[in-house]
Amino acid sequence: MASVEFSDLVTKLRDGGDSFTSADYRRHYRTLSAIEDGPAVRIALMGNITFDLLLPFLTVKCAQIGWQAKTRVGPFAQYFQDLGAAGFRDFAPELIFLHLSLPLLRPEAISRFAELSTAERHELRDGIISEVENWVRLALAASDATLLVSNFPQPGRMAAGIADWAAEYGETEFYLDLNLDLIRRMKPHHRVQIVDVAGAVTRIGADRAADARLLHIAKTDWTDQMMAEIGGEIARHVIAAKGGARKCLVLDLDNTLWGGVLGEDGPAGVKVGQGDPVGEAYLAFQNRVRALKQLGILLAACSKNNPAEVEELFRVRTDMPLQWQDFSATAIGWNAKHVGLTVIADQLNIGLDALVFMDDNPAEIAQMRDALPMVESVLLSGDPSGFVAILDRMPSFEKSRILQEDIQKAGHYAQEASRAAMQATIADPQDYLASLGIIVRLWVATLADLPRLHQMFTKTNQFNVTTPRYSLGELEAMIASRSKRVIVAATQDRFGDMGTIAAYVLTILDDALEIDSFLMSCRAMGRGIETALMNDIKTFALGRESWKAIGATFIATARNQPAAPLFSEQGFTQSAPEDDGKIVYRLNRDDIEIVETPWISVIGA
Amino acid sequence: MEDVEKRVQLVLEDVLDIAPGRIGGETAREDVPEWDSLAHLRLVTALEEEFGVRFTMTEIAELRSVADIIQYLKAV
Repeated sequence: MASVEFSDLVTKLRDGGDSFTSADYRRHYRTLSAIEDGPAVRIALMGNITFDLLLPFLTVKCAQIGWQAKTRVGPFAQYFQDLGAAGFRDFAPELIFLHLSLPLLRPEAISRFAELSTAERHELRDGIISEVENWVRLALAASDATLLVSNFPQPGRMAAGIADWAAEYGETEFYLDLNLDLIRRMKPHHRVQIVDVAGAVTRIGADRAADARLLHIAKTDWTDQMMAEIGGEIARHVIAAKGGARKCLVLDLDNTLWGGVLGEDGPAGVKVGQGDPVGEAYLAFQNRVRALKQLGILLAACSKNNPAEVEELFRVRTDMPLQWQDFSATAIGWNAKHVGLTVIADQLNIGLDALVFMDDNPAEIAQMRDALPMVESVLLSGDPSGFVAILDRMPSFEKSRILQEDIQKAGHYAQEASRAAMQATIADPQDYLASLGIIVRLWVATLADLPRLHQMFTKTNQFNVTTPRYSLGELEAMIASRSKRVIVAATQDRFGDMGTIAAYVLTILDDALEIDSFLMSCRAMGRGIETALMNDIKTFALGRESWKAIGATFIATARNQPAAPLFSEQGFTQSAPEDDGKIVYRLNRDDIEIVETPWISVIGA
Repeated sequence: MEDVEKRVQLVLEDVLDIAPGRIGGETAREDVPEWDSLAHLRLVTALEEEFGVRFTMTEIAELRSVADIIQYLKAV
């Protein structure tokens, strides 16, 4: 199968690491260009530089994260006109990268900055910002793509030298102010992200990022190294836009989270903490891992240790940044680690392809790649002082916005453990549900719900009847459309607030309603919330005489079996034979029956 | 020295993405349609990576054939 070919290539490129030469990028780009079957992401490139040289780097970086980049380079410096071009519309980009090089946008002002008055410097800043804002306004209207806007790298050295720092609105202050202004102007737009070109320059160094020869010859000054860095940066935004971030980091313990071997050194003897160089390196790594929790990334531990000793260590070592309760799932014992990862994925109710596995042992990494290639296995090689940088370099956890749901994620799993403990004491499932005191709140989605809606649409695999991976722009259009009804639902119970956990979209026709999509987060499954949502749809449908029926479709995927019985359970009948995993249902107006859910208090839309 | 010629030929075939055999010692830019101005820049950075050299802007403009490249590389 050709599709195996792309995924094999992805694994190879990802595990190949960061050490590609320009010749490697060219070679892999050629291979990728001959493959057609990978999951595609369409990226338009616009601005006032020559982008052609960037394409091999961008394409390979996207392939490393599992996406086959289809690119369109707009005509040079025509980034306004191109938004109206037929070629642009036909391409229908999912992401548009706008890069404006200041030396090319404002050559006079930038090269003679020292001669500008303070007022002229302010005007220069405002002019650049308006150029970007005007483009953003037009691009948001012309396309439903997510916009990626470059910020502005400052020169490696200022023309005024060290005196620039004390100057009235000097060059340093100008660039800081310009980039700060850009952040503040772009932040309110859900569909606009800043690409940190300035940060890329800082990481590799101004003199290695730019090649002045290229600027004078070809209107671009990025070196190959810089283009690899920018390609990687855009790839991070692809993960965020496509919702492809991995959900859980699974960590080994000995020589991964602390120095030494617990079984030999004992809880007090393993190195983590102040006062010892190795211990401090592990302390820094634990703190960096801890920061992932704020992103909504779950942590899990998988190690070959005596479980009692590990629990003892976490009881004793309260000085460690990571504590036992920070791990949402654990597999400690003497099984092969791929068995442990399968257990962890099951416990968390997520796919194996949502896991990243980190271990300091090359043999464990090799075994994992062999047994479970869908897991991203990362070797923590070399000195522990380098572990933080290894995590920093990984794009796999990128999100465009951190939502309330992300921050509360690990807490939700802890709540779930309390629920399970109570459930174990109540024999009858109905009694258990009734004891939870479930409240479901439904409302018509507004733009404020957009980021969470997008997250649910891109991430929900199990309770999802049609699994459409809508982009931010598509969801935004549906919220605004009079022929769509987008409803979101949140729930809480006596154990806590579960946040926004479900959504559905109805297409409103003259004589019927059509369920376009219906999805629910896996943590809300098994409590009849889908029935409450369906009652909401039915009640709405009864509200207008002309709607003679509700239509619905179930499209089977590898993962959405939990949603398969939904429509027949809710009174729908199959209206056509199953076709390639697709089943069409219908519920006539006269057959609509509300199914009572007395254990749920519904606060309606 | 033959080694240099072979390596230059391989870099050209790689950068211009053309079949082996189309590049010989006599080949000039105008003989190869794929050798356009952007490909020329890719070629320059690829030669720099392969041979650890650095061309000036003038030299970049003056590299018009395989012979020019080899002559330059043998001189450094």
